[in-house]
Amino acid sequence: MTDKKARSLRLIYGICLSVLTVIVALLFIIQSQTIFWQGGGIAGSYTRDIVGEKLLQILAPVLLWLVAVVAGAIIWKIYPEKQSKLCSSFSEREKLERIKGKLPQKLDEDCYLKDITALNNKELYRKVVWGAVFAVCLFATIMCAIYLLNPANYSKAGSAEFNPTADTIKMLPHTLPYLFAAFACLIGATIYEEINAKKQSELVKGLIKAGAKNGLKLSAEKQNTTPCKYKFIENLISVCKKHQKTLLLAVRCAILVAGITLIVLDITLLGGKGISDVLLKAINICTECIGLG
Amino acid sequence: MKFFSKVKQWFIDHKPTKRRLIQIYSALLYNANIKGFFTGQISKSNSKLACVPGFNCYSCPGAIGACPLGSLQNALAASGTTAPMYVIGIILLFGLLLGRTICGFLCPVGLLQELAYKIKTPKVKKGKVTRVLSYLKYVLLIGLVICIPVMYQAGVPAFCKYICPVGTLEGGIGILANPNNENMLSMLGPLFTWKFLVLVAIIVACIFIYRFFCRFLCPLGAIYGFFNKISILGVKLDKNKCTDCGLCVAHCKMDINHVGDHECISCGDCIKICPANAISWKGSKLFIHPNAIDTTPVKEEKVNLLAMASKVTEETVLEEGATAQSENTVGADSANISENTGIYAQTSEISQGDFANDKTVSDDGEKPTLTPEQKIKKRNFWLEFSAWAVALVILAGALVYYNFILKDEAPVTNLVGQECPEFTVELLDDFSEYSPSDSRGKITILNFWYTDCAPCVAELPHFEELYEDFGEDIYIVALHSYGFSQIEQGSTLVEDYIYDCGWDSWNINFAIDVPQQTEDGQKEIYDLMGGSNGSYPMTVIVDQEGVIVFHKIGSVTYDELEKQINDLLQ
Repeated sequence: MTDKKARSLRLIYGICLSVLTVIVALLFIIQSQTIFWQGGGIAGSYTRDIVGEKLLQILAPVLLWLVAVVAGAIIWKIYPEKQSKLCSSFSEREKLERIKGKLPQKLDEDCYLKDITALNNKELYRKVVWGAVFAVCLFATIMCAIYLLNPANYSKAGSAEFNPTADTIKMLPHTLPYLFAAFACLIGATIYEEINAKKQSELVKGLIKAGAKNGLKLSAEKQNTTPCKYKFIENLISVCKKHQKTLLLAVRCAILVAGITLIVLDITLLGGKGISDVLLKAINICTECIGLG
Repeated sequence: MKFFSKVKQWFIDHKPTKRRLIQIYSALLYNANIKGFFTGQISKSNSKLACVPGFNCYSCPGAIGACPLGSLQNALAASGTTAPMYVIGIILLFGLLLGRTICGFLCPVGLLQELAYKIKTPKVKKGKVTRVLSYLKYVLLIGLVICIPVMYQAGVPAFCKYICPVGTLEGGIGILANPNNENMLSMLGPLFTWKFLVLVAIIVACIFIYRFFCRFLCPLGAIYGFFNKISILGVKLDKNKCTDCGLCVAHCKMDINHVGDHECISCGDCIKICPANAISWKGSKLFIHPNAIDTTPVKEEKVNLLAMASKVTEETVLEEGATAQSENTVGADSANISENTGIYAQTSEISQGDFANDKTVSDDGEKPTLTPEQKIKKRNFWLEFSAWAVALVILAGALVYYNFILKDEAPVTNLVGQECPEFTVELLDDFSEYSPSDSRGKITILNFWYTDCAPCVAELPHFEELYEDFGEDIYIVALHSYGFSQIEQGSTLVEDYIYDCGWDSWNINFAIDVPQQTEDGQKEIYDLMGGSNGSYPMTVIVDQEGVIVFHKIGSVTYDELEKQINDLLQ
């Protein structure tokens, strides 16, 4: 079989297996939902007989899926996938940073002004977008924190109204939309960053070409970092870099001491209560953890 | 003979990598109590006071250690009364020592995800979007793991309860699959239905997306990620050697920005990809991995070394080098050699066999001496061999101990229809003694609970409501778990809890379960009444003649109790 045919076979197989996987997963979910809702939507719906019956109903597709998985392993063995050539995948932003450093040194003539202005504007838009995203994320964090840190939103343990599940369900409309918005903005900004970087790259490449035509000297150094405005921060960073190993050792020692101290304090001050609590919780089934309620 | 050599070659080509072996080893070690899967009982050994580094539900029948995430949530839930020092100390030590190397080597969930990813479906590659989504696990860490348990100050391990697929798979299905735990099926309800849906969705996602749970949902990985840069073990990047080619990031399936950042699980796959030998293991000076000394292009240095060692021609050396490399590559992938860009292939761990017979022979025919590189490799071989030997002895010991030596008590079977066993407890309100025979003539309800058990605490008000409806016809005793109360010190804590909740004015009689002397030795009342696996809450109803008529492990509703009482009163 030619490479092309083998590739097509693998592709078709992959798609079929994907569809079958999703179908089998949906079948499992549907069966569990059926058991639950047919039982009245309360605890006690599951019995051995019902579960066994529902599993038997989907046995054939599950077996088919297992056979398909094994078949896939055989197909890949007979028609192995060729290793694709490994190549670096820099983001547009990373590529832009690399070529920005090569911008010609003197670009203050009128012929370059338009492109320089466009470049600066794009950089400004980018900063504005990230600023807006930061504001959205901050807002989302504050709104979620306001709800989550308000004791009134949690029913008191020991009271008749104590119902963590109901509380959690009530929590969702007060937190999920903000989280969704924050993540959506972050994803949008990330995509915009790439588009923006691509456009900036085109401008930079144009400037470099134009500069080269006019005999302008290209900048030799990569301008990866912008100089810090505050001297003392710059000094601090340089000191940290100089004594990196010592700092690392100090941090490691601090954490080691902290960890051991906490354990020793638990044993000495609390009589090992933390340890015994872990043991007691672990030797009794956590019915909530395993879905038994 | 050809067939056997083909079979041998197949095994050589498909032998698991060292990382896979370590993953399998740790999964087996964490779940050494294999007999638990057959008996349906979880281990009650003292080894469960130690948290395992990886993700492994402590309600799994095989588990011999505690889950660090579950322990953290419970410790935070009790932080109002007890500072969570032990669990935080343990996590600090794990993070410092291993960081996210735990995720790459010591987590059974990581192993399961990687095996699921091997299923040959089209895959979703990483990108900028997945990088952003990887921060979701920090949101789950702050919200479900830290915030909710702390705010409730009750046993509400929110992540374990609503999201964790490991508990559903290992604990839930692991326990329920056993016929001995058939009575627990009645406890399944909306929570299990939701968690089962989450479990199936995550498994399917793991088939299409590499380590879906690890990358987007695992709060434990989020915690260990903070320690990645400072951990003692893991991968590190030598910035002096790094040429910034980006091959490591391109090759890595995790959402890393650079090697060793908070998303890096230190699997080591990038080490053999790096053309500049810039990536190595932290602490590799102990072993001096060949990467650290093999700094020149393959063609030049390898030819010289091998020619020195074996005195063969240049052509045969290059052939051997290529063959050895293909046979002994650790992991599935290898980079193509791109001669134009000057990127040369990385040697992976070369097996001892390659150099076993290659010794320098001096001109005057004296005893052959090893080159420094060969000495190091020999030393590393013996170090590795010893480490594996010790590890296997530990695993074998654990398997023998938990499955053959440690005896878990068999649970008493359901006592419905039998006479209620006699016991004596001291009631907390007036310190009078109570025995079931004292409430003969009334319907006696025994409820077993403990303060950190949220479902237990949630259902107690139902029992108080029964008193309002049935008054003198019933007698209720709520017995607090012996283990969770730690007599003397504990009874005060339980009394304080009852007082704080305002239950001291209730009609329910509170007491603490105490071990009773029986023919088989000391047994808690919970065990006498057919409790198993330490599952709480448990409710037992005894009729007016002292015969047990109802026994349930799990939450009960008011309607259930009302029905039972009405049936008995008719």
